[in-house]
Amino acid sequence: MSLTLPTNYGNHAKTSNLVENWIIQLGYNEAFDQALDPDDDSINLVNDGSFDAGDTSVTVDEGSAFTAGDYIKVDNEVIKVTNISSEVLTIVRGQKGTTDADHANDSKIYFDNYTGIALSDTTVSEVFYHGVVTNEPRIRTSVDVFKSKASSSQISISLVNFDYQGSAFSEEILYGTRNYLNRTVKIYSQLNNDATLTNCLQIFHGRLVDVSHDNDRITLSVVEQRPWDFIEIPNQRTVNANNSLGVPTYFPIAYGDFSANISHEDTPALCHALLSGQDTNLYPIPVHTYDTEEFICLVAESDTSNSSNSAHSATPHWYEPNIDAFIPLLGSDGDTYMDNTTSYQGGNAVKAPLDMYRAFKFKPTALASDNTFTEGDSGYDAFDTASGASATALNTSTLSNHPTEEAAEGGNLLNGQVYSESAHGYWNMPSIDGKITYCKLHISGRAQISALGSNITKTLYVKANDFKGDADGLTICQVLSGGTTSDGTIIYKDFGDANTVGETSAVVGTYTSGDLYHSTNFAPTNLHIIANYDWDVGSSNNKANAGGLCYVGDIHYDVRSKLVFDSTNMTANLEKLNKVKMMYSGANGLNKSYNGGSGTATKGHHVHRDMLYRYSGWDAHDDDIYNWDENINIESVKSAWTIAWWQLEPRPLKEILEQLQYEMGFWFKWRSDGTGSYWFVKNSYSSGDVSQTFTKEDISKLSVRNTSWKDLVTYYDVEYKRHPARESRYLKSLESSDTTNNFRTTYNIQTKENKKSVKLDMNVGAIGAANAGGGNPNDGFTNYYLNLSGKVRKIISFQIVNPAVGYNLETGDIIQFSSTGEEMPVKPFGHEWNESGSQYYMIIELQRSRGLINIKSLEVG
Amino acid sequence: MANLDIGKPRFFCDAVGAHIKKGLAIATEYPVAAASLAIQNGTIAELYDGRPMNTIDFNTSATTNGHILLNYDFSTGTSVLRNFCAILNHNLFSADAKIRIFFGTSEAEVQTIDGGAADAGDYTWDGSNLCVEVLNADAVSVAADAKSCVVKPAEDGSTIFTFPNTNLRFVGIQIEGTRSEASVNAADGLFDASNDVELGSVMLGAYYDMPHSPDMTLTRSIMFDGVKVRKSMGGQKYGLATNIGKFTSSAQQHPPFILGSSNEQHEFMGRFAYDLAFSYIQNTDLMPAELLTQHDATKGSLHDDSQRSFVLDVWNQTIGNLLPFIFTFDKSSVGDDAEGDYIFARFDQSSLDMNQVAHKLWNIRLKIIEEF
Repeated sequence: MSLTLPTNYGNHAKTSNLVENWIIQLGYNEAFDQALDPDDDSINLVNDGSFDAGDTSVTVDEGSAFTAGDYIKVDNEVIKVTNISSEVLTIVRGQKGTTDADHANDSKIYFDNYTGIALSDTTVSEVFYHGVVTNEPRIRTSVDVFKSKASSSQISISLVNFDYQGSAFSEEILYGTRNYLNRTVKIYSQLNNDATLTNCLQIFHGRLVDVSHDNDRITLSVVEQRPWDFIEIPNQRTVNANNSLGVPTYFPIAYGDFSANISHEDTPALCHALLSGQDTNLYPIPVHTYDTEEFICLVAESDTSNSSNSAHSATPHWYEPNIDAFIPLLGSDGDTYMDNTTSYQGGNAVKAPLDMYRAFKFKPTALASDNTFTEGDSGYDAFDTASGASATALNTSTLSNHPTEEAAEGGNLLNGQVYSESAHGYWNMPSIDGKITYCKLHISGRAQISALGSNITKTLYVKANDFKGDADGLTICQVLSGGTTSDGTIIYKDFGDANTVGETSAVVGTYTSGDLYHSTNFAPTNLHIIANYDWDVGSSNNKANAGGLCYVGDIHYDVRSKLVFDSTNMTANLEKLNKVKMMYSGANGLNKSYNGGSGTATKGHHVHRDMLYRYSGWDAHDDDIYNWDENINIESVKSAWTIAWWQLEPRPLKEILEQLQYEMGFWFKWRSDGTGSYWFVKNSYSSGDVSQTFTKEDISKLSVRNTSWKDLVTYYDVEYKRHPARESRYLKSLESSDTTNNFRTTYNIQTKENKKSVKLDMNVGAIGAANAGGGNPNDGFTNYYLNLSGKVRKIISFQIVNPAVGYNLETGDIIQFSSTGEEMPVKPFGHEWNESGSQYYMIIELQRSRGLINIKSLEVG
Repeated sequence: MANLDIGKPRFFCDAVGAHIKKGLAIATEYPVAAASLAIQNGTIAELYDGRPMNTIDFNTSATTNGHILLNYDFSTGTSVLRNFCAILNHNLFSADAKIRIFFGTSEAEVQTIDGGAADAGDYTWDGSNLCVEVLNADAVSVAADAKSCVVKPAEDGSTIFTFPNTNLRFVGIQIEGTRSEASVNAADGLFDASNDVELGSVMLGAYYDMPHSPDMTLTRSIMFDGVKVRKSMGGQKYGLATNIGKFTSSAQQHPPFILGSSNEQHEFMGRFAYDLAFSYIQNTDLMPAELLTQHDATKGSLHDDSQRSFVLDVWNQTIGNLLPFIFTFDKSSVGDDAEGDYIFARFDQSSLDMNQVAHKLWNIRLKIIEEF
């Protein structure tokens, strides 16, 4: 890690006593940009199959991009353009200390337009830098590891309002013949008057944003490049052109590996938001408009080659609020309505049927106040809630709801008497949008009867209302003992078993009704299950007791529903159509559009990089992004940190990128040469990670302190996985602390103290563990931040006065302090400098000025 | 001179820069002539910005038989005396180039290459009326047509030469090739085909000699200002400077008055400064006869001693400490190996305090500090 110094620069730095000059390239016009075609911003390349050394002209794709006097760079050669005739440039070769060379056809062309200023007059690579800077600029960079955010302060450069080419430089810098504002500014450190630019170290890459001047002084304000400034996303709207439908609407942004719920006529299924093992992976898709047949819903990305009735279908889903379920919309054939996205008004869309036809299952919940079914040993929880349910199958493994009924006499039963008892169970029938046109009941469970004594004929009927007015129109189960059962025999019967003869062992079965809708007088109402017990005591004496049990394991309604536009419902349903503003889709999120990327962006750092390119235009090859797939290697370490996130209304890109960094536990920063880099705190550090080890001979102004108490967070209460339809609601949660090291006890933190609530909108793949101390920091969000903020850490601040050991450093680098002899003047608190587990420090703040590096470092391992 | 001994000082002040600063002209009124090669990199104004390290160049390597012709018009009303020319930080030796100078009474007389249109009758160059080397102007020769004089530097670096006083309004300075030339004064030479001509600054004006040497008690300093020394907790010291004077590692750059052949190992760094007192200066050496009417012929010519004075020819030409100038503490030090006696400097004071110590006798004190 750390900056790679040019060889000669590094050798200069080792001399300790230095002549250091800062040289500044103030880019103008196209500055250092790649040449583009002004008409369509396409890449403007060398279009000359024999562009050889010595040629005084070259043909390019588009000559109008250039102006006489421009300097351009092809490969490593700087070339001056002296004339343009159509696509042919007249040129002077080998400028600015570069060598005239052959160049291939289709070589990229970059501009190299800048004016040089410096702290002291100097000529570097044949370019004169006016020594007009009067202050000592300071470059301050920092990183907040607790928020995963890197920043760089504004640099102020004061210079003499000098005579530049016959006029005051203030006349040149703004409203002159060249444009400098918002152009790239590069700052280099030149050591010992080295006259070659490649031997100088670039220490800053930014843009000129503000200029002020008086008669004799100019002040330049330079900031780090911030391509994300002023950008809000989403920013792509539908095209409101002739014959286009709808008002301009933003296409949604969605990132993640989304998938559809699978529920159709042939295989209806539960579609609750939170199903065991297959939580909702949908994102909201705004309804742009509808015509006489279909809704048109805007989606984030083109997603084709899908198959119907599968997780890989883009079909819109309808949200049923009363059962918190997302139901795929179907065509009249009973299959998913539209599986592939289609191009639409500059983006992509999927369509949905106006009748919102759906086939699905849902679960009722018990009406406890009227229910004579009592809770079993495990309570109602064992009766599947939505979060524990299988999408398709009824739960037959756990049975807990049951009525326990016994013959009422309590003591011995009387000869010749018939005893009857009954139990009632009530489950609700949630309101479903549209008209139910098909309805079946699926009830799993079993019943059993028993008696202490012989010659008792036992009968148990389990029945339910049939949604057409008959309270016991559905027979779910019946158990008949006959008259010959012996004392103590238990007779079982599973639901749905047509055989009326009971079994001698417990089996759970499922009762499935016929289509209740096709019966007459269909009127959905709450489900009422009745268990009727009869004990017919024979003529013998000593009949001790009799009892019965009815277990209900699970209940599903299996329905089909749609809007019916008949004369009765037309008006109401048309009003309903107007109110439909949102549907939901499992179509793929946005692809990795950046250099070398392909497929859906599903990981946090992939999404970050895609956003940088897609919305701010910054891009680079993997190899040119520091720490991408080498060094600390974010690509490998953060591979499990997956995302599911969407944004429907514009929001600042900068804010989104910072949120993404925080939730995914990494930060992006510009390096001093203007390239991008990704950083995070590793699981552990070793000597191989150390960029520099310091002694007291290298530094001054040493300060040791602990991290602020306000930054200490020892317990996280995390909500994550956003609910697609309900704002500020989350489907999952995790409470996490480090119970292995138990720093809460160490720091005397009381039970309810120091608990931080966090809502994660993006991170769905790496949340952490309940005991963060039991895993690695990069296992998940809570592990990562509890590692950093879960205990008091040391902060070491100091000033590097020995340039030989400081000029290669940047924030994020790991440093150490010598533990040998008296090479450090004081120990850090009660620790040794090489204290096991507390000896590696990350640079979190670095201020560079000429000859001095101020460092603040945080103990990270 | 040996050991940088102090003699009678001389100031070389640039009239071009002074004209521009006084608003009498703008830089573009000192153009390259139409017959000249155009500037390849830079602008004409950068020749007169007082910063020799800021060079301009001409694509002479591509047009080896071309000419660089600089024209000067000092206008009628400001026909100030001129007697020296300095070209600072050039590479004329490497570029196979020499300097040709000529004068005229009309613009056309100096716009033709080789001084071909100059009127020998207006200014007669001959064996006794020719340029004289001050620094790095080794070969001097009058043209065969007596319309110009040629100066040929022996090295890259800076060149100063003088010529007999003139107040002719128009001046032409031509840079031309030397390769394959028939003779020094011939106009048939070619530029080098590899090295383009680079020029830092051109100064044209009148030098002024102090009437006598400064007082014995003077101060010479060699400063390494701006050096900071920092100390670590362990006591180790680290030095840091922004620059250390005239040194430049760029082969193309030669700060005044370092020559291209200078042994870098023996170059002297640091910034020279002088604190000089001049006592008992005659009033006529200090102030002109008429401060505001020097151009009134009835009050005497500018050539006259009654008008030439320190205030007119130095303090007014440099506009106090606004403009740099060339300074030597011993005007007799010229020719080979005299470069060390010259500095490119400016006054380190904004006020010229003149103390009368006897009737018509004045004391002044000058602080002079090197630019680099």
